[in-house]
Amino acid sequence: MADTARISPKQFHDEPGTEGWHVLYGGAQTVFPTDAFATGAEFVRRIAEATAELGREPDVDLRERSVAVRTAMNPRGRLDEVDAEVARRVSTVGRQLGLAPDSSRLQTLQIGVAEYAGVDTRDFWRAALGYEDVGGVLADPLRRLPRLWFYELATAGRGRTHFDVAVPNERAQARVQAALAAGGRLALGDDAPYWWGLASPDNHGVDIAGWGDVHEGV
Amino acid sequence: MGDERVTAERFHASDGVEGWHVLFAGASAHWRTASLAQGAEFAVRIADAATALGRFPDVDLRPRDVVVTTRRPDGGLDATDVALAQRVSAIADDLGLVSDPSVLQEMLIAVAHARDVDVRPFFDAAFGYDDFDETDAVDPHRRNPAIVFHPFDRVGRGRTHIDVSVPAEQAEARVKAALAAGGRLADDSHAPMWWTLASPDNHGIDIAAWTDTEG
Repeated sequence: MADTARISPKQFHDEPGTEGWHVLYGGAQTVFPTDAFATGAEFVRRIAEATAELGREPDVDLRERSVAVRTAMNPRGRLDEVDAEVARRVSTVGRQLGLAPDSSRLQTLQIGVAEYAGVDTRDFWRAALGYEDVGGVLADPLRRLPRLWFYELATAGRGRTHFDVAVPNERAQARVQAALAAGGRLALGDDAPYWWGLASPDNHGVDIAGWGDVHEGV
Repeated sequence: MGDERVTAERFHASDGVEGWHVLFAGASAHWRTASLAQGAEFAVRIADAATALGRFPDVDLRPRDVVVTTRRPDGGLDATDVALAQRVSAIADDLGLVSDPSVLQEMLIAVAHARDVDVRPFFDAAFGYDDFDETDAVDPHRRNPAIVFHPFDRVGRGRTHIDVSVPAEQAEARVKAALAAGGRLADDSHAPMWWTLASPDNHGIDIAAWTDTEG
């Protein structure tokens, strides 16, 4: 499966059967609410069965009342057509159990670590967190904790490190409105509707990112 | 089963919980698997045990790994968590799975704020999190780290720091690795409960062992 062509988030969404899935940090993902933990476990069993022959095993987070599924061609979170097929098959077995994606509270967090010019702190972070380098970002080998990316400290004023919250594209604006209504400030709005740079009432940086879900580049 | 809370020390003193560690999110254990299918078989059997006990763990399945975390809804541990851990370990043994506790870790984000400002509503809104307890915020699907808020009274490491909890016996090695990678030991007065490090650029990160040893 290593030689398949990459597809963009937009191309992923254009594939039939991927409705309700979103491309956030780490890959294409969604959440299926369940009525019981045992239903979720049975869903996981069927997901494994339905995807085994594809040679691409998704990450699955089983909770008391939900199952989250994420697929990507590599640890960086890039996609190819196999991921679209995984999404299709997962949604199909979900339907057989009466389960449907609900992305209303789906999100992925990433941490942007600011560095002074000329300073490289990646080795420290990799050591302190036990992370590995995947194409320029540092990632948890088990893909359970948020990824880190690094940038030169240029925009002072929102604190040095900020959080990126990736949400389904159609939910980004509402998320921004809710955060502003809760006392936030729009600090960087030039790149909306791709992303918004917010500051907390206390001037801490949080970006809401909707672009990754609809990006046309691979 | 009992409502009385169980400390990390008592948890570890129980039989049949070798390889489990008490981290920020509860008691956690890890096993390697041959495939997602084997992990799924494990999950189905965990579900039987969980349903019988009425305590439902978080199960993170990866193609070659499974991490199980149990705790009470209020975040503490009690005898039911011990019983669930024992049963999950017995199932893993039955399936021939091998545990590697060295890969376990949990993260908290500690957001510092001025004393007179309540920033939690903003973070709840921006992150899509729910309030938890008086001071915390959590991802409703528990796929992203919890946030704890604390008044800003220590300057020098930046305003926000990251807490990492690891199995107690891993903590010192993690600290050494971070120091060898250019980190600075900012405060070790709480060692071996936790170590306060600063990155080469003075960013704060704490390595915590205390959750796993608390009596």
